[in-house]
Amino acid sequence: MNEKHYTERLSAFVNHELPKTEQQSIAEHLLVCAGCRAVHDEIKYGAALAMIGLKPEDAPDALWHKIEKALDDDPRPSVFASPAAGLGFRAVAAAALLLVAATAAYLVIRPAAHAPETAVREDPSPFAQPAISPDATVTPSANAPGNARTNAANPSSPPNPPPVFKESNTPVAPQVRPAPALPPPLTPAWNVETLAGLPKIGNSFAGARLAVGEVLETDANSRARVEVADIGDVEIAPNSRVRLVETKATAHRLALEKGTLSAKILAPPRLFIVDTPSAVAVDLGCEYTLEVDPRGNGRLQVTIGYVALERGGREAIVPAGTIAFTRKDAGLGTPFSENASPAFRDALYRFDFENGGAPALATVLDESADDSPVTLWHLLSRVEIKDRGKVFDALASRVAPPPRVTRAGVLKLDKKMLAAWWKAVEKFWFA
Amino acid sequence: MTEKEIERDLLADCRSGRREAFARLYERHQRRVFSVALNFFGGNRTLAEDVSQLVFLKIFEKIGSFRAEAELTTWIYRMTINACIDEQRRHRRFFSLENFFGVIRTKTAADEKLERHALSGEVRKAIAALKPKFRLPILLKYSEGLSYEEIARVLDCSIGTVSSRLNRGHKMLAGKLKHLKKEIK
Repeated sequence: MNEKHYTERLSAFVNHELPKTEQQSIAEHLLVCAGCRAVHDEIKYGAALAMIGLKPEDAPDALWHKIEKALDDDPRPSVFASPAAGLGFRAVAAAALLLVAATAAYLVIRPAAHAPETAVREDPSPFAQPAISPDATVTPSANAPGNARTNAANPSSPPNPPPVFKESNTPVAPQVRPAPALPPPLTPAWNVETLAGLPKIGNSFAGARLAVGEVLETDANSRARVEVADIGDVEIAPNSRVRLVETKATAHRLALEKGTLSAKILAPPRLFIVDTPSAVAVDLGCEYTLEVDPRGNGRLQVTIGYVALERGGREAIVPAGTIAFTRKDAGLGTPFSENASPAFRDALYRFDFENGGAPALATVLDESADDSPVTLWHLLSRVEIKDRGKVFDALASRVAPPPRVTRAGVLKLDKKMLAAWWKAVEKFWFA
Repeated sequence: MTEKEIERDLLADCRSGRREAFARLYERHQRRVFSVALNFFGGNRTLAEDVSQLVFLKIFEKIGSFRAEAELTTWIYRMTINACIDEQRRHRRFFSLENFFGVIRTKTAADEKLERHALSGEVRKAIAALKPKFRLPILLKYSEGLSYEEIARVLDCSIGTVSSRLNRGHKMLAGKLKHLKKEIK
């Protein structure tokens, strides 16, 4: 089998650096390739770490003063005078003293058997020679007054002269302090496009951005489209209310408090999440519609890919072509085919949410058809053990259990066997 | 006025040696230079300040010879990275002298404060322990927010090389810090 793997492209994938078509191919591949998914998860974790560890920071205010002092210490008027000519007497004297002191100290403490240059070679930096481009090389040495620490540590480099600058042609007030005046950090936000009517963000009519913490609300006549960072978009139907919970490279999260949203997401699994009052919908690379009624109950319909519904440690995998209900008071329903018969749907709803018990289950099994394996597989772990054999038989009649998946093992809910059978169900479902 | 026009005027002012132009240039780029140096040295503020000071003095000295076909920001990143690499080389070479003088490694109060954020500090140190060829793309990506193309320009290599080094760098980091996985989740 000539399966193409993408392990070398995954950092670019995680950082959304690839063309859309390639992002799509890799997202689809990750759904089915455990090897690439493992590498992807490792790289994503590395990226999350880097985001935690690396923060841009302003230089301390004192730094500019040091630089100004360095500029002031040489009063000569030439802008780019030759370095040698740039040394004032005091600078020469100070540098010479430092050089003598540092050299003496170095000679005292250096390892006796090693010449200094031997020690130098312990740094096999890939940038060992002109680090990036010769004209850009900076040699931190004694060229800055106020940099004595560095100078002292560097006995082998004779102090270079400080760069010399012409005094400004226009007088500069002594109190000029360019305290870094960067704009405050922006609150992460998503672009919003009004599709109809006048959607609102907070108490105002929707602007172009929905920031973290803000609520977007549509009335009966308005609709909006929200760009989910750079991984897709979500259309907000009339009479809906959504809040942007968070957006960062490792997670983009909305809360759908009421109404309907339709999501189209092109991203690695588990990057886009929607909270609802009755369940959490976790995107596994897909398109879907999610509704929440005024009581907080939900309905999910997936058209492409998969969504995982989660609540209280339980999970339902909802593949394309299926629907699942959620209830605020009763949790997750069982996914079923969008083409299932009304009798099948009703019985399943009674079983999931209305204590339908054995009679409801019997109807579900009686009404099951070729498009029922996704439901039946989920029911294996939802029914009481006394009924599990019947569900096993119904599922086995549609999708044969793979080798090494035994009736006894499934009745005990052996995880490996259930996972193996799910793979077969998936294959059948998408065939 | 566009960004490019502002930059062009600023460069012209700097070339004429006007101090307030240097101040404006510093204001525009101090965060870049300091952040790269700070993250390169695993949060060592003393080293980051020293290197930043040297970089700006060098920038002011060389601004007259800066060729405008390159982007000023790219040029400044290159200056900073080269200064960091030179400084690291120097510190490795003369590590015993550093200890002898007892100044360079002295932690500032700010360093101590940083270290209280144990998780972030541990991650930062792990990044600083990577070889520069893996460390630099990571810090240009995640501290500076550059695209792969911009990183390739700064490091003077191909986008493929950036991608491959980031791939390996991420994996190395994940391997070194796998014990933090639960905390990150």
